[in-house]
Amino acid sequence: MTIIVNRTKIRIFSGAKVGDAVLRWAVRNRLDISEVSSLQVTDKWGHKLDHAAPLSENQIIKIINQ
Amino acid sequence: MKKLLLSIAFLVSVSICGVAHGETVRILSTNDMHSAIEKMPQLAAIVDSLRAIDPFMLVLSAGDNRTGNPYNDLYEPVSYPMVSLMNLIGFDASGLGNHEYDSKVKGLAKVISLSNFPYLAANITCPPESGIQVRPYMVFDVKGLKVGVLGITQVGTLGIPDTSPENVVGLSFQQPEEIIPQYRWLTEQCDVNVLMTHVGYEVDLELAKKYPYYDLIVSSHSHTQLEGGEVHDGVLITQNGYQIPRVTLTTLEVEGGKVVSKKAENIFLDKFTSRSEAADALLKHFMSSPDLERVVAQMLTDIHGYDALGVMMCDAWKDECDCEIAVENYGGVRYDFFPAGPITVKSILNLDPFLNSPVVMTLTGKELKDMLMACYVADRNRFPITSGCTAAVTYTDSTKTAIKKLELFGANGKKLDMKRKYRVVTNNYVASIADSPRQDQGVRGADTTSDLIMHWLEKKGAVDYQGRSSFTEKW
Repeated sequence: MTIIVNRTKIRIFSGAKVGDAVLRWAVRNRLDISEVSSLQVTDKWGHKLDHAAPLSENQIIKIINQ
Repeated sequence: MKKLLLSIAFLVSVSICGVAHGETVRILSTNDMHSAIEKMPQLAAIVDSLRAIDPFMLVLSAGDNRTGNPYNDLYEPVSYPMVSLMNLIGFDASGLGNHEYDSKVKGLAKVISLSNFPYLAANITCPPESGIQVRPYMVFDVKGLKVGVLGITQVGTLGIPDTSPENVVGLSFQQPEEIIPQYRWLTEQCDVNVLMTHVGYEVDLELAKKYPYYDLIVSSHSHTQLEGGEVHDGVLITQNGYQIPRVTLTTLEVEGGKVVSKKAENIFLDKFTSRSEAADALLKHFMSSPDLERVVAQMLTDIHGYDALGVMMCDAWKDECDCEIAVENYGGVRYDFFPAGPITVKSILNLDPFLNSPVVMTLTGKELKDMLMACYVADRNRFPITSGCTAAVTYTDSTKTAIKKLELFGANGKKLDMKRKYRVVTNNYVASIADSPRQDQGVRGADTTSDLIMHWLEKKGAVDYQGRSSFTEKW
């Protein structure tokens, strides 16, 4: 499925959770993946989401403390 | 603490004194508790405090009560700790989240039979032989007012909830939009109308738009952290994160059979230091469960090294997911020594502690090779462990910081066909960090990878992996 993380389209496995998409985004941006769990994520309206939250096709999420 | 208790009492008492002609309906709601049994004594104390002021307050969970803590999820009967604590607290109803089905049909039927409260979902059909007792709705009498609560369970694009299809065999589901209009009559008979859904915040916005005659949507599934509640198209929507960081207290003022005002406030669990002694005693009992000491198999010899234990984990995933090849990141193996003797549930949870799930994908030999290389780079230059194939890794030098040549061999010892497709299982961590080109990104399974290892070991009875490795290294 496709997820949009900070305007970057990411193709990832079906059933991926927020934490999975953030990991993929971090690898793509060459960030230290050991720091990923501390990144704060919101939905497109700005509500906080935890890393265990489920994702659906074409969902938009934002990392707010990259 | 005293301040917090006083402020809760103030919140409730102000609304008691302020309503001259109507009645006040209070609903305390949770969502996506995900086996957070350790927080239940605080939740119980909050509920007790509020019920001391308003004994008619309803307590609702919008679903996903289980999955997230082995002390609950591996208990026999499954999820009994959570159910017992919810019984003690006195929940009035629960929704059916997609993770409720993780217990499979038989397990869910058992969970429901042990619960002192009903499970609500109008868009599920359970045949009698399933043993699952679900009600579409409940009408609660609150101070003479009728409070109708209609339950809606999550249905994904495949027409079933987001769980493994084998978990919902025999059950059928309908999309919320097919069902909710059929209960329009119920909303006309009730003074307060609540939609308790497990569909996620974004879908709830659509439901609010389509069905604005509901007063409140107790939302869940997306783990959305709302600051109190939000009103959309006249419908108040509440939801509170994951594993109960907060609970929502919704107050609805009713006059002449209609809700004339409504508001939602969050109560932070970690700021509420008071705990229910009864819930604490139950929690202590469940946390000392012998279930985690249960022996699943015997290790025949001492195992030294991450490689051997990693190969064992991969063998388990490969067999349990009916795959040809399994891949595990080197850093995912948490022991480098495992003594000969009994293998317990607890030791498997320590070996594979991340609550990861398997991801099954179909890859060509070339795509697999690229994935292994990408995993090596992302996992701090540690080559992944495999089952069903072996690797000969040649590094550029002794620092092992770059691979010069990688050759893969199948189970028959011959070079892996780069064009052939293989059914491969890995965990969600590898599937995420290995950002290599591949046609099939795969599907995440509902089990945890540690569950797979336990099931596999139970079938094996005894194993010996001393000296096993899946790759050779040179430079």
